[in-house]
Amino acid sequence: MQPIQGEGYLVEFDPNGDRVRMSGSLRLGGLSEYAPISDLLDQAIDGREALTLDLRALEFLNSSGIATLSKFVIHVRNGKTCQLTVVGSNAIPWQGKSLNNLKRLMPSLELVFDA
Amino acid sequence: MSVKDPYVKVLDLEQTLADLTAMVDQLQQERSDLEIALTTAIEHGDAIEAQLETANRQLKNEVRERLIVERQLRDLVTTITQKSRDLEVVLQTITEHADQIDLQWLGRYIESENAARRDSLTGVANRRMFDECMAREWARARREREPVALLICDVDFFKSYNDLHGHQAGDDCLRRIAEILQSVLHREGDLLARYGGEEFVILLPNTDLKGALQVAESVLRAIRQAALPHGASSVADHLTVSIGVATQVPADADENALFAEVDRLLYIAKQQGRDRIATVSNVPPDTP
Repeated sequence: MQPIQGEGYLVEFDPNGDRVRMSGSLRLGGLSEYAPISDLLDQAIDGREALTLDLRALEFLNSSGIATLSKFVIHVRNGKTCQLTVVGSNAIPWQGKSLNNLKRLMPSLELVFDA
Repeated sequence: MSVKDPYVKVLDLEQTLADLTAMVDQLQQERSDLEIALTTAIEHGDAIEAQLETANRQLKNEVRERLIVERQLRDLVTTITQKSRDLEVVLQTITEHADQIDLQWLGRYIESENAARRDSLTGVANRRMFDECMAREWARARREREPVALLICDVDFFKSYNDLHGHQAGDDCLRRIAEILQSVLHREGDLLARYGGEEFVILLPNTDLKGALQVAESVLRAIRQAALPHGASSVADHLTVSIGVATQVPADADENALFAEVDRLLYIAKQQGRDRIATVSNVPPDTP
């Protein structure tokens, strides 16, 4: 799976670590522009029992981005086959509240914050 | 007792026989009627039973179908409820996320606004902030007919200081000078700014010449007391400053006139030997 790279952001899948890393500043316009990232996430969980979404270096995410993540979490929850872990950072202000809301969508989601 | 004759007796028997025959016929008729009635009732019962059986079967099918529909509806309600709950959470997530991002942007905006108005070397206000404050205070003083005082402090022989001690020491020196000047100001609203190079300005709203001179003398005294070594000054072995001071009650909208006057006085302080204050009380207005 090829990484998705744009101006100021990178989304990459590490199959060995069962991990998708998002970094930089994601400010794409609307859900349609997030479709390639959405596809990468869907492919990442395909046939996988566990996946970690590493957002520690994602400094900025706009509203369409958090909507894309929300849809992905609902998709994983409904699939009932993959254990999802989201790793965030306390140093990034937006992550505290928004990532906790993702856990409300999927109570079995494991949320880990780095200091 | 009368005795009938045999003829009469035969007649009686015939009559009796006829009666009996009629009775038998009637009974047979009744029996036939009863059989028909019974058969009709039985057949009717069978028909009703068959009809009830059919109706029962139909009802059972209907109940079964309705139970299926009910189950499908329950599933649909569960799905819709879950989707509705998801949508609520997603909406809340997006809204709160947007609020957080707004705060993040606001913080960066405030930071950049502050940075745009601060001198990065000394941390005091820069020329942009001074110009804005000056324009604001000038307009206010003009409205309220109050004096505005201005000081320009210039470090003496600063180029020589840099040449001798190096630019790093020059930067440290400017930071130290800024701290000393700031320590002299105690009133809220007084503003110290680095105007450029080794030149600092102090804006004193609602201050007459006497008050402005007191501040200028405090500056001169504090700089002398700090005794920052200067190996290339021709007036002292430590850093000194020259200060131009003036105050005006604004007569028009042009605040540059005050600045030009203070700049002229600073030039005179330099001309007269540096390490001093020049003001209109010790410099005639027409001195070049």
